[in-house]
Amino acid sequence: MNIDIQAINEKIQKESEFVEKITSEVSKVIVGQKYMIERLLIGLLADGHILLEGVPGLAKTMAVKTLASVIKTGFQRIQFTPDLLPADLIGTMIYDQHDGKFSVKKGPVFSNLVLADEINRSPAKVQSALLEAMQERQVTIGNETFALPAPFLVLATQNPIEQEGTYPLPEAQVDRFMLKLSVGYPDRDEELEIMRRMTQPAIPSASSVVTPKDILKAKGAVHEVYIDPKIENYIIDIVFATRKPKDYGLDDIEELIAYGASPRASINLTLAAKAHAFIRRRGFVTPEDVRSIGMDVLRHRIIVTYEAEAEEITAEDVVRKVLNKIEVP
Amino acid sequence: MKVLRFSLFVVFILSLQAVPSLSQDSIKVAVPPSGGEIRLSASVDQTEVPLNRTISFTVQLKWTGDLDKYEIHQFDNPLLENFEIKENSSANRVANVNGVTKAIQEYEYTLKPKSLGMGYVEGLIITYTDMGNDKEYRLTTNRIEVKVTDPLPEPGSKSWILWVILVFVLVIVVIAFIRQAAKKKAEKKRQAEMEAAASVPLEEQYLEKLKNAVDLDAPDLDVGDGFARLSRLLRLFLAEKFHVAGLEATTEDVIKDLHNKDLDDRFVNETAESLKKADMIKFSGGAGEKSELERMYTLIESSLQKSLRGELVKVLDAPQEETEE
Repeated sequence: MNIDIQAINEKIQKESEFVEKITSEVSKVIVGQKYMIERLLIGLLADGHILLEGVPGLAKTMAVKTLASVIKTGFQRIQFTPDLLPADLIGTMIYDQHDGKFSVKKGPVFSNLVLADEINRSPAKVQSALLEAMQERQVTIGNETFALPAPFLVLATQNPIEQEGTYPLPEAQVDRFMLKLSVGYPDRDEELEIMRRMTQPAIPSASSVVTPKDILKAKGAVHEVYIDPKIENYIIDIVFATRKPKDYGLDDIEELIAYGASPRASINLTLAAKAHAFIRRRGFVTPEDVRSIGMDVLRHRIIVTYEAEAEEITAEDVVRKVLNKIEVP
Repeated sequence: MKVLRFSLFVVFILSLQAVPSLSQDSIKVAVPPSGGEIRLSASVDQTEVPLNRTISFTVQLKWTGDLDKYEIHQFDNPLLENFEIKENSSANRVANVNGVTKAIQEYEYTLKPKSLGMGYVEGLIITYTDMGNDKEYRLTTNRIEVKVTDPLPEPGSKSWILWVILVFVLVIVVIAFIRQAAKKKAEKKRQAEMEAAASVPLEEQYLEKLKNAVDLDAPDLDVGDGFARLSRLLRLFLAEKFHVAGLEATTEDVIKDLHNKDLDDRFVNETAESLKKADMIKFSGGAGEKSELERMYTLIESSLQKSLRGELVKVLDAPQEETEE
């Protein structure tokens, strides 16, 4: 197989020029959180939805809002509550008294960037409506099916500390998110900068530097990023090690894993690694790309056993052991 | 060990014989008018006998005094039902017990059963003459019954199983011994090799491996494969020499680890250059240039030689100039 890597590299260099513009524009508003911003871009470029987990006040909503304004695209924030109904999300048919007809009223899901805040506060039927829209990228209201706009990215947030009165997402639905991010606190310097910036009379804002068209074009380029069979096998090794750890010399975690990662993990790890390489302005995937994104792709796809829970071993610990054990190509 | 225990258990079980049934006796005591006492006993050594075994039927006459005190008349063989006589014998004995002479005449018959079921030894009539008064007397034994049971396996049929087990055990013992000996030999060899290797500096070992990894003058040199081999060799060396996760970590992580180890900056930069170049060739699907491979080879060779001379570690405790206060 002859690969014109130089041509791919040149194309990726050209198409990924906006990445730096986006990050610098976003950083005018958001201090730190480079990891979160980068992952949001990966989700956007690889067509994968993101589940954000972190305590309140970590600028999750602001980051998404800023990203939406930077790429000049639609943004909707839906606060999930126990009384939310699927129709509040996807829309409904409304009777128009003037015309005497039913007309469609589209819900907030018809946007490019949708922030589903505290997704676990709503019951299963609302979660299912959103997750179905995420999967199908279309919504049926009455007898009519409407395609959701492109790009379409759902960012759902979960608060890890309050579990009372919540409806935890079933494992099968969590698997539909490409990435699950664990957003942490800023460091001391960042916190100081946040404090100074947010106590100014004029809160900074970001201007739009990219159009949705650029994003759609970039998505096409991401698919062209070259992935060598050695990297593909590396990804397969990582995913298989979560299912059959003993075969990879990970005897110590055999008893800790109840269910390993699904084939969706292999697919998403490949797509996310390509998007990561694109953001790094490279035309091919390296083990660094896989390792960087591996934790975010795998942490919500591994179910640990009761024994592991009793020993306070999390899925993240298991993924870390797998990534540290599998030999890079 | 388990097999040995099992074998011994089987041998023990097989060696167990059928426990013989209690013997059956028939004792008659006669008191001749001339005084004295003559005792007749007839007995079998077991009351149950397998079809393929024999029993002993013993007739014993015992009295006090010399052997010629009584003359035992010749008597016929006992009447048998479902038995046949295999052998018979007789013996006379005189014993002195506490100054008293005791005479014993004994007749022993070896009987073999004919078929399954019951077998009988009919009563035996023995006549004798008391030499003291020259009168004749008779004594009779009771009928004795013996049960004939199923035949036992012949000793020959048991012994082949024993032999098989013994051979099996022996083979296992021999195999275990050979394996143990081979293991010890391999361990000794490994230790000898390790000792030999330990005496050669790591860098020299890797310089030798470097020569064998890639032949730059080979006409059919696969440049891409060469980069992969050199990259792996370099990572292995770094893992062994500086205890970094050479094979499991990505290039960026390896470089980061090396930066944290107070190594010569030039060495770290050259290593980074080599590994990144190799990654570029390995993962971009490109073939790579021979000149680039030669450069990587030279960089690794020179790094190994520097390491051998101890030039890779930064001098941390360089002498400081004393300052006068």
